[in-house]
Amino acid sequence: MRVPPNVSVSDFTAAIKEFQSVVGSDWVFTSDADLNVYRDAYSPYLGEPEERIASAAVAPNTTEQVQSVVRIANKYHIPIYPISTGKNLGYGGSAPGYSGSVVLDLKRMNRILEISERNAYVLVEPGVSYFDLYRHIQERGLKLWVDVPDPGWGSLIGNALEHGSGYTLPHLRNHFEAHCGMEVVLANGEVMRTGMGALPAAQTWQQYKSGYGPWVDGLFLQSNFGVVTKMGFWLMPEPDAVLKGQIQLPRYKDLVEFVDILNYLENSGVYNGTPDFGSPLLFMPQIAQWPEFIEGAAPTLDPGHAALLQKAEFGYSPELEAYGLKHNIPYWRCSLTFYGPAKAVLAQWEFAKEKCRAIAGVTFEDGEVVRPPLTAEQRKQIHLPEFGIPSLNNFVFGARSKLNPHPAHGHMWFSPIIPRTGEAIYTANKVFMQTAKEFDIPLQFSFMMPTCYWERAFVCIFGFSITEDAASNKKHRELFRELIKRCAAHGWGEYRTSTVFQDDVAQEYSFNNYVLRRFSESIKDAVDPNGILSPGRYGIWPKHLRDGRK
Amino acid sequence: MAADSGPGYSETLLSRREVVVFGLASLLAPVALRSAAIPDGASLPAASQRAAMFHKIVYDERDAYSRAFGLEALALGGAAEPVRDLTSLWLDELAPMWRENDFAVAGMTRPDVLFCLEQMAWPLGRRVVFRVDHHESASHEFEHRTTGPQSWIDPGSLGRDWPRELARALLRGPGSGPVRSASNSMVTAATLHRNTLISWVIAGRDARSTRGSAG
Repeated sequence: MRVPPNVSVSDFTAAIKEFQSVVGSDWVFTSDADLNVYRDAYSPYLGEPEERIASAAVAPNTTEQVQSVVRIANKYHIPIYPISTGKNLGYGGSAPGYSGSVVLDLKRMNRILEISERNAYVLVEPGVSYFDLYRHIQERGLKLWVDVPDPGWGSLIGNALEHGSGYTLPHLRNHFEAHCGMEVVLANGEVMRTGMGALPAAQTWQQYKSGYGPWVDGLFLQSNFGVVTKMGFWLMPEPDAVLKGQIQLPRYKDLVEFVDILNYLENSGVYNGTPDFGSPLLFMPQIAQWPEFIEGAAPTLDPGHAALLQKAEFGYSPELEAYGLKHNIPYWRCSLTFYGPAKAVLAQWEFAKEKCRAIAGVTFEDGEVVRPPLTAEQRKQIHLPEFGIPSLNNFVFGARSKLNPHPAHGHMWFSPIIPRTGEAIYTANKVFMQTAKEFDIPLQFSFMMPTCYWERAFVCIFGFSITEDAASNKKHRELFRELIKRCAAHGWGEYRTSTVFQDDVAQEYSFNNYVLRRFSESIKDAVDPNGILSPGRYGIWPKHLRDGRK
Repeated sequence: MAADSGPGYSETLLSRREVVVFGLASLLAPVALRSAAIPDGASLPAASQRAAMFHKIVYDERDAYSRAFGLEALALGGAAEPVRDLTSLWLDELAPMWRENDFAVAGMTRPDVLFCLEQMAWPLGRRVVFRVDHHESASHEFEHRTTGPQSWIDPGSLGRDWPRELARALLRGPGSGPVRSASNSMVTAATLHRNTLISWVIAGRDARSTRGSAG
């Protein structure tokens, strides 16, 4: 039997017995076979001594059971690591950040407690996945959409607490921003409800976010101050229509002017879906094109085009640009998606085109106005998450394909937030590519297109391979850590990272002698004095482990 | 598999590379082939009974070995289907049925498909209870490593026609009752190989077979 650090075998044995008395012996896992499932399948340290491994897992079924488990953990000073469905792959999966912790597995708490079509909200427990909620809505014929991430197998609560994102309306695709009201089990075992939920007879817990006084919900985002056992989320009424139009730009420099127009259109509410960038000239598909790009007929590149691409530096050469202009291959391509009344989305698209015509040589592809519900044929042709449909299709990224005959076995996501300007896209690519070149690690893309999951800023998300070769994984980790530093030097920080890099990223958020981290630590010391909840999560360590922080 | 070809499993249209690999594979096939554990033919009635145990048997039609497995399972009466849309397989079929009933699903797929299914089956109380990893070496020979009830198949008994032999073994079974407890597995980097197929069974795990179904 594995034992958590600084916990005696006798104490751990006693705690396990008490956990069993609360949740039942079937729901306490201590065997290697059972604990294997809680390993991070994409661990950057897979199979190495530094891999984070759980000592046990406990799966309660109710908030009351969570309270009891937390109290037992406090009694024996046992670190526990709550997970919802444990699908945070590329960022740590279900493995604890602090090796030897007991995983508090909340998958069994999978009830959809309330759903309102009239006010478009839902109240769920942590084990409810996007698939579960989608099915629930479909079975009842509700005219509601849920904003889903890609893939859609994870938990609404888990994804929101990790600052996950989706594809529909801005305030809904930011999954934390889409939440309204929480129930939290604190480290002392007390249950707290936030926002209007603090009213015992609350009628608007899922309708008014901030309640009265300080809005504390943000304290539970990417932190370790409590165990969230319920969360409300705002849903999207099924729109009358969806329109997706494509904008194509001929020249490398066009991104600067285009992003400014894009920002104006988004900040004015002209379009309300997620812009999706690609580059036909650089052979970079848009997100929605990836499944077809990988699994469809093998895309081909003219040899002359391929040779120019090879020679281009940081995605540019005058010759490559000239080739694109001569052969009508756009340098950049970006889709805009509009949700709303059919007449309105057509008018909005026309306005967007009008604005973009300021860019010389811009061309457009008008999309079809799609009116939900979708036909089976339509479902095959769309990017499902943009229509609120959870999917597993993005696993084609890592699967064996003609473009990827020898896939890696996992990946660690690198996700810096960069300014929403064209200039930042160019600079970021230079930093990424130059750093990778110094480590002699080829990046898996010719140019990193930014994604627009959140308003006002870009995020660049790319994966570093994890293979069966420990030496290769070590090299990739070194590159990852160097990129964290170089991005920070440019003023860009990661919004989320694998548990194994959380200290590295936290180290860069150092303004005024780490006052932000010290503030978090003050809260940690006050609300979790024994430091039992997710020690080290996002760089927040309890007092007794702070000296060991990397 | 990268080559998508092998003895008896060639595509109708082979690329030059695939032809080369096919030839190499034929030349390098183990000389001392053992006979299959399950003899041909004679087991159809038993196979039919066994087939009913599996709600579904999935395979990857892009892979010649997997396709051979699936078509053999189909011939033996199994509900074999290619995995074309994993989302639909899970959302429309397996998840709703697994919430209500205890049944087994078998397959021979690439690791990514098993990875997704195993991860999603776990919270419904279903585990990988039988697993054979088929690793293709650089010389295009296959090594078969088993996790699960050894009585179901002796990996050493698998010969040149191993995909079909495996289908017959699964559908005919050891005659020793239902799936039993087996050591668990996880598809991880350490267990994957450049060219890997995995045969597997996901089912309720012994006495705990229904746990987690309701939440």
